[in-house]
Amino acid sequence: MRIASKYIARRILNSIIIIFLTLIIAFVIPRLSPGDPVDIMQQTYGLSNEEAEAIRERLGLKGNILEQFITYMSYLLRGDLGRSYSYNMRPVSEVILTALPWSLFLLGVAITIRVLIGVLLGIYFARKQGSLLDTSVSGIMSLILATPYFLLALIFLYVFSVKLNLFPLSHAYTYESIQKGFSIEFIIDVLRHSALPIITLVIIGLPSTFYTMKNNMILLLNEDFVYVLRAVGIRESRVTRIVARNAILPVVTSTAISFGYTVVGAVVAETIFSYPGMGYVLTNALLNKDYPLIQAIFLMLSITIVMANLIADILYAFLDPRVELR
Amino acid sequence: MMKRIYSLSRYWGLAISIIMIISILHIITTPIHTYSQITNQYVWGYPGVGRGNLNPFTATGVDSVIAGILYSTSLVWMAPNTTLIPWAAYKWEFKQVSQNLTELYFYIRDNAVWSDGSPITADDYVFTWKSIYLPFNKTLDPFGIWRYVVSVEKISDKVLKFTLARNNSFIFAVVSGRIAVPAKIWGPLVANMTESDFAKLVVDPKSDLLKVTSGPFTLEFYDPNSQAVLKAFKQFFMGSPHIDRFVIKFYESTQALIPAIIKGDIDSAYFSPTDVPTVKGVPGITVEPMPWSNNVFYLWTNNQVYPTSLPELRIALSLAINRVNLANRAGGGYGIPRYNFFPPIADSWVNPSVNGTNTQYDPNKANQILDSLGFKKGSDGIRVTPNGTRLSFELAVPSISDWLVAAQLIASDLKNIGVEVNIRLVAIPTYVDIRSKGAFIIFFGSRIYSVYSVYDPVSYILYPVFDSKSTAPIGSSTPGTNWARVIDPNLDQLIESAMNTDDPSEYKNYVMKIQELLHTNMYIIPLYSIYDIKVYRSDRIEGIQTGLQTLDTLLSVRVKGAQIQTTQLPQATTIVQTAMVTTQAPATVTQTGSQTTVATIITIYATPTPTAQPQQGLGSLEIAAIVAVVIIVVAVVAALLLRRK
Repeated sequence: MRIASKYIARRILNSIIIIFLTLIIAFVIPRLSPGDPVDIMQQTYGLSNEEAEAIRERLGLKGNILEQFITYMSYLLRGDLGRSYSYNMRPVSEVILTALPWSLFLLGVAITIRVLIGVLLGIYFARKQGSLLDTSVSGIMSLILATPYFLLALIFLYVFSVKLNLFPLSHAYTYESIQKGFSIEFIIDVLRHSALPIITLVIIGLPSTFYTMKNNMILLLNEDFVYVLRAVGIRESRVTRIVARNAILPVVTSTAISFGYTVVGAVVAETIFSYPGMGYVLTNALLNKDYPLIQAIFLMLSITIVMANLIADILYAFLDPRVELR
Repeated sequence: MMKRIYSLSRYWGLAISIIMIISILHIITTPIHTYSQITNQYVWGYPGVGRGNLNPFTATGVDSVIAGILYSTSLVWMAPNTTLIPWAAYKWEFKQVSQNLTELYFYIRDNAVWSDGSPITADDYVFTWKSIYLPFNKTLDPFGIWRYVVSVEKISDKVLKFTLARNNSFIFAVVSGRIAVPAKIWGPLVANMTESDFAKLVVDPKSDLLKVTSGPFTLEFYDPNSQAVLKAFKQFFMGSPHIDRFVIKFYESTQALIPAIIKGDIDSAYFSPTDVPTVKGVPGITVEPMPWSNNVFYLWTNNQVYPTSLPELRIALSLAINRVNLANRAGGGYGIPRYNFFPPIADSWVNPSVNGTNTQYDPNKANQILDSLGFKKGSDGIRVTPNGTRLSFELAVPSISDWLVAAQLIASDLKNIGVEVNIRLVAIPTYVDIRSKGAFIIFFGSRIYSVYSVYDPVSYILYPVFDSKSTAPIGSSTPGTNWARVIDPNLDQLIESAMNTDDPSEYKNYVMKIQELLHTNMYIIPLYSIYDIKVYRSDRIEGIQTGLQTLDTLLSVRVKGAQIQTTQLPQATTIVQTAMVTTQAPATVTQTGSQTTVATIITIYATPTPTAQPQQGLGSLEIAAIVAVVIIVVAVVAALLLRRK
């Protein structure tokens, strides 16, 4: 394994450029739709035009879009993400910090479980290729792949929460449990509340991991070195383990690439399950044209996705000694 | 050693799997108690999130509801059905000083205390009026109704005097719902504040300001994205609530409330008419329309843009729309057609001689009017004006289900008279922008009116919607809600005269005359109103009220079978059930705690009977079953096909 420092520096530079471009897009697109947040405030609070103009100035919404962007960047470089209109001018960083842990938990657990199950199923069904069970599971996976996430989430919500009463319907915790601080009861309560969003996120992301792993396994199982391993009398379970180690590499990359889709899924999940994470906050920010909050969330998402890809690249080199980063 | 650890690691995966399976089984098999079932609490579902500002003067949305509960110090309440309810004051007296000057004395309850145990006194009210309401009236009183307040004085610790430059019952609109805050806590805060500073004042839910409140509940917990929990205040002057806690759970949308109430996660919520069929008939759930309605859906026509600047065209559009059909279908069976411009709550002010003029369904007459204007139908059936403008309008609608239904019905009705309507779905911020800046020919939308419109329809209905001071040129945002850009000097003159008169009969005459102008010109087109619908779990709770909405329900609601510990209601706390309100108050009126004698106009609000029941579709269970069967069939077919290949 050789990791060229030049390569990493180049990738970091690329990442910064990508993040900056995302930042521009996140800044421009909300402003392209008609109206600005002060119009909404003006209607809500019955502000006069003079008052509205004063607020516009204070919020950095005066001037053309370039001037607004320069103002925004000057604050951003000083670490000031602005204040959220839809959360009564609370600092954006504060709003995000309230919601972020919930999303990280949801995404972290969902991705981990998804990769674990996807890889195991991929290994198993690669060996059972062509069996009735394999074709059935593959069919179901194709079906899941074609199912819109919101539909799956709604069905699960109705069946497992409303009808069977197995899981809570919404939110992340109950008031009773949070009163007890970080206790076993609180952890169980949080797990119970996050179960449905996590299960749906796992299911919706499972096919991609499953197919990647299974296809790689099938390809590698037909490689010459596998015949050699078998010929020298190595047990089949050991052969599978060796092949799986090689087949898992693309899963790492695809997981990083699909991270963005999982984030989108989490936004929908949080909205449907009224889960108080970033997606829930983002939905409210979009509805209220809360520019600073929208920008900050997109900035954070882009940083996360770009970083995930960067880490995947570097990790790839660690996992596969043949890979050389230049 | 390392080898040993390595060999043990083989079993880690198995061990973790077993632990996970046991954990999952434990979670699944532990019975789930929904919030309401745990303790003696009432859970209300709210479609939206908190904003983290519990300033009782400027909070919006659900925060204003919470702040209103925390600071429940209004001297008297005027219920939406015009009932007067003594609250922090157990009685009041009028004294007519002169023709234009009235003194109003309020007697504060002896048992009225703040949550720290200190008494609520006249000083607190005097402070609140002199230091907050009156100096910051531009922010807090957009309709300028407090201009009638000449002075607020303390007579004794428990007696308060208002001097008002008005001699009729509008004064209840001045004082009803106006809370007081503790002078000792808020005094230092607002001492040197400008109005602009006050408008920006955010009261954080964790603020020390909220440690001294006065309502039936105190704030225990608040998460803007999740829920607010309020704890009963046993010393509340109107008696202790029967519940220990009031929980408000925030949901992403109105649709999210449906499974929540079916499952029992929440006890109660307001539903839109189109969502009602999904819960109606579910065992344990009661659906009850509110006995009053304060909204009107209008077709707003831009009065400054051709061709809707023509009154004849506006009248034709009005005549072409079948309001009964709209009310029945878009109102989900809980709508009422409107043939005048006022919400049902203000029906007592409707001019009977013009009610229905140009608002009755008559498509033939509408066609005749358009023919007489020379608007000829083209080959596609759509009319064209003499100057070549095609009568084809875009109708911007946010994606709210019952609004879409209404827009579709309007489009269909207008097509019958040769007017094409293209519905355009827009996001709510875009809709607000189109509406506010006048970027429309026609648009559909509702206007929700203050309960005070019952007392002063000029300040609360006519001025904000029709006065030219409430509008702005096209392209600029309107300061009021004159979105239709109505600019009529005659109308302005009448509104101004009505706002300046102290003579109730003169005032009423102006209101009648204004309505004549409205019906003659049809500046905007009233269509229908809907009743808010309260949906609650009657199998779990009882005592739901429909008067002051949240407040009276919070005092009467009980969890069935719960152990109740309450304090006795204070003496002389008799809520007026059937008070009558007048626009011509006698010179001296004394209210003694049980009945008010002011009365000439009585408004009766009957609980509406659904005019039509929407057709019941498949139940959710059936739909889920069908979806499951389809999934299985598709999976099996896919499996067989893949196997063959």
